[in-house]
This record gives sequence, structure tokens and C-alpha cells, in this order.
Amino acid sequence: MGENKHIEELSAFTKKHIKDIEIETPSIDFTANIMETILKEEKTSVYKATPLISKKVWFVLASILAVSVLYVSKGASLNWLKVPEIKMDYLSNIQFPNFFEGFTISHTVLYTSFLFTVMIFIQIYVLKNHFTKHLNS
Amino acid sequence: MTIINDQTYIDKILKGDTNAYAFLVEKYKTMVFTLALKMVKSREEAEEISQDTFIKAYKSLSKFKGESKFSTWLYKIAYRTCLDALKKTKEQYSVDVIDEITINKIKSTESVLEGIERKERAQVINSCLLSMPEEERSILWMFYFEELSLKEIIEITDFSESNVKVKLHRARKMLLSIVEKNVEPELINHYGRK
Repeated sequence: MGENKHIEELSAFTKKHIKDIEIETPSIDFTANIMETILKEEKTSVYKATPLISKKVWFVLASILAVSVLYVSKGASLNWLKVPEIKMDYLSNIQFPNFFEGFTISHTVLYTSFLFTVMIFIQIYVLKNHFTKHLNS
Repeated sequence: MTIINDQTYIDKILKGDTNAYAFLVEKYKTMVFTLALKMVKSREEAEEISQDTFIKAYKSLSKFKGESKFSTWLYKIAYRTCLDALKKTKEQYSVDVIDEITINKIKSTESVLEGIERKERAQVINSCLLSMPEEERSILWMFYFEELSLKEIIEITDFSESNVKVKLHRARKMLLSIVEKNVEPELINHYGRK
């Protein structure tokens, strides 16, 4: 009974004085800062480039390759891994007509096509960088 | 007047209206900031923790299933973020707690406090609260200032019910001990006058 009275008194004492403590507020631009961070993160996450083949898929592919190489090198004698022989002799008997016989390309055309291809690749690189920068800013 | 509850804003945000989150930040920023300030003490750090809390909450908003109040869920994130920050600067506290609490002891401390001007008294209590270990002071704050229920405190802290009760009782005694020690000179005068 007496113990309970003490607890009640102590509780009332604590409540009264803690309630008297003044609350402090964060800076004025607190909400604006949070919203700015969130909106910025949302924007970048939308344009985030994702690789065509994810790390997980690369890992699976690498594991399959490693296992296959290991099996072939260590257990080449395994019967189930042996590919049945296919006779390919008939392929050499087929004769294709040569459409490009007597067809010549001048050096000028060759150099132009080569430079054209190189320029296209440079453009792809430059444009990709330009858009990535532009959209992320 | 229409009262728009938290769930309405949450639904709006989940449907893509990011700006609706600003209402929730405005509503709970003081609550989260004050808890952080009571736990980490420094204003700058408390502000950083509060911002982290709101960003974390936003990112995991889809996980909020409405089983508890949004404020409790948010408070839990704030509490965890504070604990993580405190791990880096582990402070040591040595507080002698009075084992025996007598009504006289409470009353005499109370009457000394009554003699101090209200604003100053609040500052004394605040500094006494801040000299307590973080678990105890945060439980006291949640229970007495924010008036959270025991159930909510259990959910926020992940302590068992008996553990929260024990810590709460210990915290009350601890606060009285610290306050008594702080106002000791006045207390002696008080008894001297009697």
C-alpha cells in the first residue's frame, strides 16, 4: 500500500516536471530539405540505367560456364557428355554461286564507310553522356 | 472541419503524390526532433537524425500496414536511428540511484523546485534528464511527455513489458536522485529554515 503511494507520488512528480520542459523545434527549412532530398532521389531513381544483364545473371552464366569447363576438362571420358558424331561431308559437295565475282570496291568508298562507322560510334558515346548528364541534373 | 487522417496521406503518396508527404513531415517533425534531441543531445545531430528518419520512413512507406499508429511506426524508426548514432559515441553514465524513496524526499525536492522560477526549473529538469542513460531518459520522455502507452513503448523499443516497467520505475527514481543532487544546496537551506 505504502509502496504504491510512493510510486504514485513519484510518478506525479516526474510527469509534472517533464511536462514543463519546453519543446524545441527543428530549423525552418526542415520540411523543405527533406522534400528536396526525396524528390531528387525519386528523379534519379527513374532515370537510373539498369544493365541489360544483371550481376545475378552474369554470376549464373559464369557458374554454368565454369562447371561445364570443369566437367569437360576433368571428365571428358564421361559418355553422357560425348556429342554424337554427325557426318558433315555433304556440306563440301554443295556449291554456291559466287554473286560477288568481279565486284570491286574503290579505296575511297572503303575509307568513307570506315570513317562513317567510327563517327556513328563516337556520336552514340557523346549523346549518351550528354543525356545522362542532362537528365540527372 | 474535415480531419484528414494519416492513412489518407499515405495512400496519396503511394499513388505517386510525393508532395503529400510534406503534410506528414510537418505534423510529426517536432515530435521526432524532440525525441532525437533528448537522445543525442546535440541540435545538429538531432536534426540530421530526424531528416534520416523521415527519408527512411518515406522509402519504406509501402511496408507500413497500418497495424499500429503511423506515429508509433515513425517513432520506432527515429528511436532505432538514434541508437545507431549513439553506438558511435558510446557515453558512460554513472548515476547513483536512491534505493529508498520516501514521500518526504519527494515533497522536499518538490518544494525546493517550487521556489525556482518556472523557466529555470524546466531547464534544471531538462539538464537532469539529459544526464541520465539514453534508454531511461527516452522511456521517461515517451511515457510522460509524449504520453505514449506502455504498449506503444514496447513496440518502439522492442523491450518486454516487464523490462519497460522496470526501466520506467528505475528512470523515475534516477531522475529524482539527480534532481535532488542538483538542488542539494537549496535543500539544505530549506531544511535549515525549518
